[in-house]
Amino acid sequence: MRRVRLLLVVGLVALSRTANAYETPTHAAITEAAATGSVADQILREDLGHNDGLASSIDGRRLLNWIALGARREDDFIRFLNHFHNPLADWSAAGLLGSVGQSSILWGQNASLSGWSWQDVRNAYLDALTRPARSDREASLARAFEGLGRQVHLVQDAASPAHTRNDPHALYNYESLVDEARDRDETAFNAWLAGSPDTPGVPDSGWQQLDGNPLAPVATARLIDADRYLGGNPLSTTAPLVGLAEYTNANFFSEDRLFTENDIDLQKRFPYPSRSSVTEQDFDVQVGGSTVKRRYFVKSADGATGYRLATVGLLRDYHQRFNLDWTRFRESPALDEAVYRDYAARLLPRAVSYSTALLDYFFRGRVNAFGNDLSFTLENFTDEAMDGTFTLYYDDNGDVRRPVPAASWTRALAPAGAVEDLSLSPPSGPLPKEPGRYMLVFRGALGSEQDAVVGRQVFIEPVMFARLIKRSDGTPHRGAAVQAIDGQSGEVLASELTDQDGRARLGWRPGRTVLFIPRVNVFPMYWAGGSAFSSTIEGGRVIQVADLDPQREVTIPIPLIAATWPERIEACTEVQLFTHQPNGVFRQSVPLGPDRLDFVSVTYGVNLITFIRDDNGQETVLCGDTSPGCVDPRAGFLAEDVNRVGQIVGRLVRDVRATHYRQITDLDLRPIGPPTCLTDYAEVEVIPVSVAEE
Amino acid sequence: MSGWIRLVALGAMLTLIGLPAWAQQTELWDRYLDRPRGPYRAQVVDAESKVPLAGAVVVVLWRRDRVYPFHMATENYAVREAVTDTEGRFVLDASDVEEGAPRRARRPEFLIFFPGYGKYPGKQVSPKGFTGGVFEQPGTVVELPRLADREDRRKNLLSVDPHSYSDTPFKDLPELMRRVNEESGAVGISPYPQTEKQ
Repeated sequence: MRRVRLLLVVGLVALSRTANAYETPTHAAITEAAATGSVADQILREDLGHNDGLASSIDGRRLLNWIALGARREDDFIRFLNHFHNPLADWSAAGLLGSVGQSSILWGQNASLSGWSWQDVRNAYLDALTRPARSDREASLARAFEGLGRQVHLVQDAASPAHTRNDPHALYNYESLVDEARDRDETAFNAWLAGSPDTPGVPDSGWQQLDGNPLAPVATARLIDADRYLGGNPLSTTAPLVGLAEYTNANFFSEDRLFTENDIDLQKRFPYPSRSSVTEQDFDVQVGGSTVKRRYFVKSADGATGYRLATVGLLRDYHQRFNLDWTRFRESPALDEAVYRDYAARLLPRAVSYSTALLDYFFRGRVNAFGNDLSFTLENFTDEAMDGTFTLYYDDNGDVRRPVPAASWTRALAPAGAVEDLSLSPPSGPLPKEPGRYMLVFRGALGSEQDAVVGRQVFIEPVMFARLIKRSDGTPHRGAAVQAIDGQSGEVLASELTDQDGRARLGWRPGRTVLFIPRVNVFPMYWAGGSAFSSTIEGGRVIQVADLDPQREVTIPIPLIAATWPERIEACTEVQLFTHQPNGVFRQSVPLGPDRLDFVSVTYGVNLITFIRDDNGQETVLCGDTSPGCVDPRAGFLAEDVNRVGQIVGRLVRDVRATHYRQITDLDLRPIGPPTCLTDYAEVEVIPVSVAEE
Repeated sequence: MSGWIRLVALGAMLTLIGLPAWAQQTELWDRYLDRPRGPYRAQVVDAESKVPLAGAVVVVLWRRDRVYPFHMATENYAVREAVTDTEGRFVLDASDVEEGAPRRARRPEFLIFFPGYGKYPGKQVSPKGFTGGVFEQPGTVVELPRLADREDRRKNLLSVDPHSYSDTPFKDLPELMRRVNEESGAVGISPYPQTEKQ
């Protein structure tokens, strides 16, 4: 029976009083202002690859909408009972009326009851980075942002006096006025949101280093209650390092907690603001179209100062004259619209800045990785130590996120520290959508926060080595150009010369790369595996991780190919009858005694030389009569010809001429007697050309 | 009278005291819809040239306060949209919404959105200051400023959350969504995908 009575009483009393936080649209507006002022947008764009940042859409809402939605939903039925925090009470009894609800600080970190605790939000963020299905990752990111909205809601409530003064206040209240302004006087409302806190630099970043409270160990608790204000030191609440609930509690009234420093009810007794904190002053106010004087208590000591704290009690005839709402304008001190506006000008900037601080704290972790997969560095870009596990994930072509095999390292990194010379094997099955692109995820201790989560999209260049050796003797082929080419796009990924050992280090894309050797044999060659080569990129071998040896190397035996064809010797001069020289000259003098020479002179000419392949009839013009020289017939060879050594692959069609002259001369080349021979030749001939290997 | 009955009576008395007072609001303004206030109307113009803005979307949102133990929650009650005509005018007859409005339904909130322009409320050149009731009176002219800077347009766009007006904005506010997505494309961010089941 006793329990039934209690329920009845609590229920009826509850119906008579409301415990409004900022109204839900107001929370949404504060949250959007905080989010857009935080690093969240930058992290989404730069670290996580969401190019639209907070404007990224997930399940029909932008992330900015999701965080605002969380701020609204946190006020759902029954949750709001846990949105109070009395900074002067032990945290275990700092909630609504001591124990009706849990302290907002504990609620925000209550992983077993809240469902949206800091730990829950961290887990959602981890899922957003690591879940296999893209849809699950996106849903988790939306959940993380909704959770952040709920977290900042709790911070914002600490900027509502009723929520820090144990006041389940009734009727029209401070939050009502703020929401009215949001809707009907947005100039004022926006000015409050964009305003600077009355103490520059709040919250001082030192809140992150304060000792944790075992009841709520995550440092964000200190944004609400830093345990600096203990009830007798209100001046501490204007220091940069102070909890938001402490500032609000010590410097503002709520509707049913005015000058309660001596209240006999301990749940209502708050030492500040007190009668010693105020002076009285008249202000002009507009009431019913008239300008009248109204007397206020102005906050003039004991912490923040310079604003209207409450009205001095209004007289009965004043009430009657302006037909004022008697529930609000009492004969005792009360809070009117002007007071609320003065409050909002001080409390809303703090609500925004403390909310921003929470979001920045959530996203404070920064990591990076740079180098190539043979040797790369992980770097801690924060000024806090990281001690946990770094894991690399990749997305396959179906957007399924997978851990990279054997690419997880448990390390402790000092602030701004790094771990060097890590390596990984590029994932080979299934292949990555974007080779080298990974999601680096850290889970572990970040400063004082256990189980923190940090993510960043990184590029770790995949590298391989191509070693060229001569097929004939296995010696290194030095100084040869090798290119790695994306077999799908044709993009040149890397172009290097082989070193003294015949090696070229190349960036590549596993499963998409072919190797191109452009100049070793005059004709271009795509490696086709083993000692086979292709003249087209399509015929090239797409290199897989499995093609590489443990040193990431593939060895390519390169045949050095020559073209051979028969040439005739002219009988008189005993010199080659024709050559591939458009304007060639040959001179030779052989002594025949002390005063005679056997002089030979040959001039060569070319009208046209063409190489015609047997297999496809492709013609390659080697030179004409005005050419400075002739191209080697190998220019008409194909890469496929390298394994046809000794075979005829085509014909030379030559329209050539030559003049062969032989004469006995004196030492000054003056003829002695008639020429031994002087013969002009001009022929069109077809000559077979074979493949040879040097 | 036993002790617990006295307590119950006290609670009931507090309830009776509290409820009527919710109707009383600021000194100048009653936020609640004590009677139908529509039709709502105004003219929307370019703040600089005063040229009427035809095709601007006007969203009208009614919220209601719902009382729970220890808590009063604000919920959306109804939403309508209208589009300005060639003279930049709109008239929205909301009698169907307001005559059946529940207790503690609030007087409506307004959003006016036109691509490339600052939105109302918040960015308008006029009316400024306290704007309660301005659309209940004839003759109101809303002057919207053209936003030349792409980043300003992006911020302005992001400050419009269609889901704060409706959980199914494509269904309830098709003109707003069309305009918002048009502006999304213009400032280079992805449009809202239509994921709602129609």
